[in-house]
Amino acid sequence: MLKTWKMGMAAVMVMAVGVAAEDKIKVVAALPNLRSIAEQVGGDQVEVTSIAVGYQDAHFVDPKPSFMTLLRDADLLLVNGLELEIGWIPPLVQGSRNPNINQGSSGYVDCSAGVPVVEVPSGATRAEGDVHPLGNPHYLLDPMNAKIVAKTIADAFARVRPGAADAFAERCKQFCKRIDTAMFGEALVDAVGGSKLCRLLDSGELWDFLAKETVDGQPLATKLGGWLARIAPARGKKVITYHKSFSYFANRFGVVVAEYVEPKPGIQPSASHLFELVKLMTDNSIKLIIRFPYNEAKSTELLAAKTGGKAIVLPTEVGGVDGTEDYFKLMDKLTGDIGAAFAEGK
Amino acid sequence: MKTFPLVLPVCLVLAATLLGEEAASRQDVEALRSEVTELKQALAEQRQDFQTRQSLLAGAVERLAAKIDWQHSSRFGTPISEDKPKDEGKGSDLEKEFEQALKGAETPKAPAPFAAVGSLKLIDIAFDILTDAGTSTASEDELARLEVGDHDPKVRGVRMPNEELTLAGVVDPYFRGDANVVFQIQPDGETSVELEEAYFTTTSLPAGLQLRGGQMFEQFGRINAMHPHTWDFVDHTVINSRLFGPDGLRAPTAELSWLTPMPFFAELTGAVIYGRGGTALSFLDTEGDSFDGHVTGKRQVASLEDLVYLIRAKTSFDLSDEWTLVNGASALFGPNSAGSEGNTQIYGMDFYLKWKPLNNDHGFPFVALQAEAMGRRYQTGDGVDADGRPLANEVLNDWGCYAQATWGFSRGWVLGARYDYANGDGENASDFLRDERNRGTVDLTYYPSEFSKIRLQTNVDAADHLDGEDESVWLQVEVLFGAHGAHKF
Repeated sequence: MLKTWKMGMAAVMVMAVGVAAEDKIKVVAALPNLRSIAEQVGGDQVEVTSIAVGYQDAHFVDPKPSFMTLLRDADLLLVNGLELEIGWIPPLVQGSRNPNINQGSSGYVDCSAGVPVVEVPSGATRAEGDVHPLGNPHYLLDPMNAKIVAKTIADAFARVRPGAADAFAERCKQFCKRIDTAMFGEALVDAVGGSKLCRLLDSGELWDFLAKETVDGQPLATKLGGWLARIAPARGKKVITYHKSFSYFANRFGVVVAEYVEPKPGIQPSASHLFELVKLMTDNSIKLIIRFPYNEAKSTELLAAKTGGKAIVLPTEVGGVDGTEDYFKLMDKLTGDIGAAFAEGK
Repeated sequence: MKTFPLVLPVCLVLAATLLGEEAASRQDVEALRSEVTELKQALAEQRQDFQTRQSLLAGAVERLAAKIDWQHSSRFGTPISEDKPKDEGKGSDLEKEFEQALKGAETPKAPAPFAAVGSLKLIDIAFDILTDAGTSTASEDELARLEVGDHDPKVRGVRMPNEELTLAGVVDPYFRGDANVVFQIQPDGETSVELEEAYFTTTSLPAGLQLRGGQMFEQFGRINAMHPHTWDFVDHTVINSRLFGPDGLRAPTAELSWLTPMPFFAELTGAVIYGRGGTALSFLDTEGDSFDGHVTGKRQVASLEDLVYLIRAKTSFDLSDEWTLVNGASALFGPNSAGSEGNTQIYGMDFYLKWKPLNNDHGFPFVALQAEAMGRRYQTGDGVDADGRPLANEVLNDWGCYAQATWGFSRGWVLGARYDYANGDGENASDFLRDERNRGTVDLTYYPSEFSKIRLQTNVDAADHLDGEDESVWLQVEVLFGAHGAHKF
């Protein structure tokens, strides 16, 4: 008798906790970068999980039935869009039987909305490999795009919970400020202002501006900190990446991706292509080869050995390698490792 | 500030008047000098005041412009200042900037383009070209009895058994449509066309429900519903062909499935099937077919009892990040046309275990194990034999299984092995559809990309109706082009 009463009480308490926990918006993100940004924008009002993990290739995620169960209960689905997840999100959404997250419903959030897309092909065919017909989908490696995505996510949260719209907008604003500070360094942001710096960065006038303008008798360039300062040694330098995932990063931070280990997107590197790459690298003194955690190591190691260069592994998503638990740490890692590789003089 | 323009002329007039007077005492001159000094001070202060106000206003305008930029970029992705022509003078021409900012806010720029602007995705069309070539130690007639499936390589030579047109699209917020049309080149050179599947799927039902309706492959076990271009081998399994016929079990169906609220994946499916003809072999089969001597006759669907019913339960567990298990159990109940009271029950269990590390390279490496076991209880009822003589009721039991393993050992390369077993009760050593049969298969597939494949396969067959064993060798080449949706796990 006492036992059943105790169990009853325990059940009630569990249900109460369950009910309280249900207060949070259930968000499922396709990829870890989106999860990280959603956590920053939503705070304790949201519960975010990611389907893919950081060290897996976002193009090739198995649509396991367990993910359907995860999506069944979701209030919002955040996708990267630009057909990056076209191989696995549609069957998962269909199998989840959750009408809220159908494409076209309010719970389906395409985070590529409003992002300036690069490398949009015109008239491409599959002869060119796995071409993304809507453009390069790896836009989140440019922190300025993260700000756009944060606003999209904040709007989506506000639609689900209009009462907290102001809170989400405020957190989004804080996130954007934090991005600016992390990008330029606190000193420079205090001196000039985040939005002006961003405008100058977009128009390509930032470096002239920093060189010319002075504060307290010193050029502003000395106040530069953050990611731009970390990657400064690599500005204008050439690298090789495995796949075309770095276009946005390269454009933003001034690194030049000279060639790819894949002869065409999604096509395996052949011996002849690797031979050509060795020639290109030696002719142009390219010393850094970047691959991602899900790429095979043989090709990049071969290139490094033949050219005396350095092959490193970099993540493209939060959690891709150790020490990248959120978006800021991810960008720290990318800018830090690439900058350090060139600072060494390699 | 407004008084400033007035003060100066007034001062000038006063000064002139004062200077014009002949009677000017030194005291008056002194008084004048001090007044002028005062006025100069006042002028300086006014100028100072004016400049302070100017700079304050400039600051306010700057902040306002920044706010507009922020608002604009949050809506349209780029700051409004991007609209500014590059050669416009920089510097403190704030009024111009402010005006431009105002203008920009009134006429918003079009959203930053991502190529899908203006495009509506209506239909995905894909075409699959599949060709088999090979030979066997079995004669052509024998081979047709071994490779029973309609999409199997049935001849010594070349066959094009599955040229498949796939169509899929979203109908509206409530439905999607899928259709599959298969073309085959027959041995006599003629083309046959089959509408394999054409069905709708609901997309907005509540409570985890989903309805499909139309012609479709039934969700019995795993392999019955799989299209040939997703097979891991060149031919269908023995037991599936025996129980469901050359085409598999497909018929006009109304299927309701439910994703249960369990914390793990658990799906229940129920279907009502209008099972008639060759694609419902074990049920209301075509006339003139024979089940152990019982000849199938004409039997209509007269009531709900004459329909075929399917129930299926499917569960899935992620044993870890790398290991996933999918289990299922299925049952079919329906009439058969061997007699007016004939009825059939088919039961099956399926099992799928996959290992794939998360940081796989384009899907490699992986190992997948798949097995199914199924059995049929075919109660003929009172019927007739081939000569029209009455045959008493008989229960025929058939059973069988298959187990296969596929190993993607290197990017693009998959090694496969499969074992088939099938048997039936009674005296059936000469009946190629009911005798005891064992088959072993090994194949090697190379995928140049996800859309093309080349496969080499060898079969070894031993069956009661055969004298000794038969070996076959097949080469399959397949290409897929167009937009094809992702496959199920």
